Amino acid sequence: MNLSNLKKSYFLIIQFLLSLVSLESFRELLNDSNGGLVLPSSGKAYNDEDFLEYQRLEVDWTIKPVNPEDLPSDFCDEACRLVDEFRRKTVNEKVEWMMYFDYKTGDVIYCWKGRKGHCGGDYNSVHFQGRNIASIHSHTGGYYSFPSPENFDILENGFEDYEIITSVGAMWIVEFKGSVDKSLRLNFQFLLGVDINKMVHIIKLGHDEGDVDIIVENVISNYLLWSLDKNLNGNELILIKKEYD
Amino acid sequence: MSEEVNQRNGWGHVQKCCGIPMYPAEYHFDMERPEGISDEDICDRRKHLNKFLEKYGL
Repeated sequence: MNLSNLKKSYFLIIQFLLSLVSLESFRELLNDSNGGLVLPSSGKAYNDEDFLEYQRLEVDWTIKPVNPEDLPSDFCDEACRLVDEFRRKTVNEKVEWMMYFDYKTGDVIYCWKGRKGHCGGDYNSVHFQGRNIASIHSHTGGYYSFPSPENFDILENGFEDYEIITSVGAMWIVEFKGSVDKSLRLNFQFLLGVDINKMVHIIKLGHDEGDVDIIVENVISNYLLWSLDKNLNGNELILIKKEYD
Repeated sequence: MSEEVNQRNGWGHVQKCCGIPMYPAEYHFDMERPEGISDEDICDRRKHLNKFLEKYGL
């Protein structure tokens, strides 16, 4: 048995023990091939197809770096390197990429390649236990940098402390530690959607075609950063935008 | 659409949205109004947004 098979066997034994409460979950895990699962004991990633493809993506060294000062102070050095690498690897991609990672160790927990305008997949929260979880996903060229109303599942996800969104010219950090119930999350998304629909509509009507994109990016970013009520049941949603143009 | 569904034995599903497409692509956020949102809530929100947009002459 070579080292790779030994690690895989060890991983399956660990997962089996963690999944004793749910044999059904363990059977689903065995069939999973989309989602880069980390080996908690070794820090080495499981050989998932999407994660292997991510590892092979070319790094773009021509773009400005994401510096540790750009990220929350509780991100470790490895996590900061991961965020910088993720942006460099995905900035020229035609599809979105997404990861869940531990921001205090830099371990990748899940990795998905986007399909049909979205990215993500199935996860088991057993892999988040004892972890400090952030998500990161990319917006491809031709899309604004800011989070859309469809985002913000972080509000309901108690396990997810940060959501990082990378794009060609900017990076957004969405921070929400804790969780609110589903109804409050839906209310927030609905009202934000109404706001954004109106802003996009008004800007398109009143400006030259060549100016629309830059005005939408600036006006909606400023609205999200400075005017949106981000207090949810006494818990503050924090939004930060870093520009790299 | 970001959503968490199928919470069963710890399993969930996540989808992060690729964002809002730039001009000239069309975008329209289409979501059914939640029960907790009243006409008054929407009216108050419009007033708040209009006040913000006035700063930009919009």
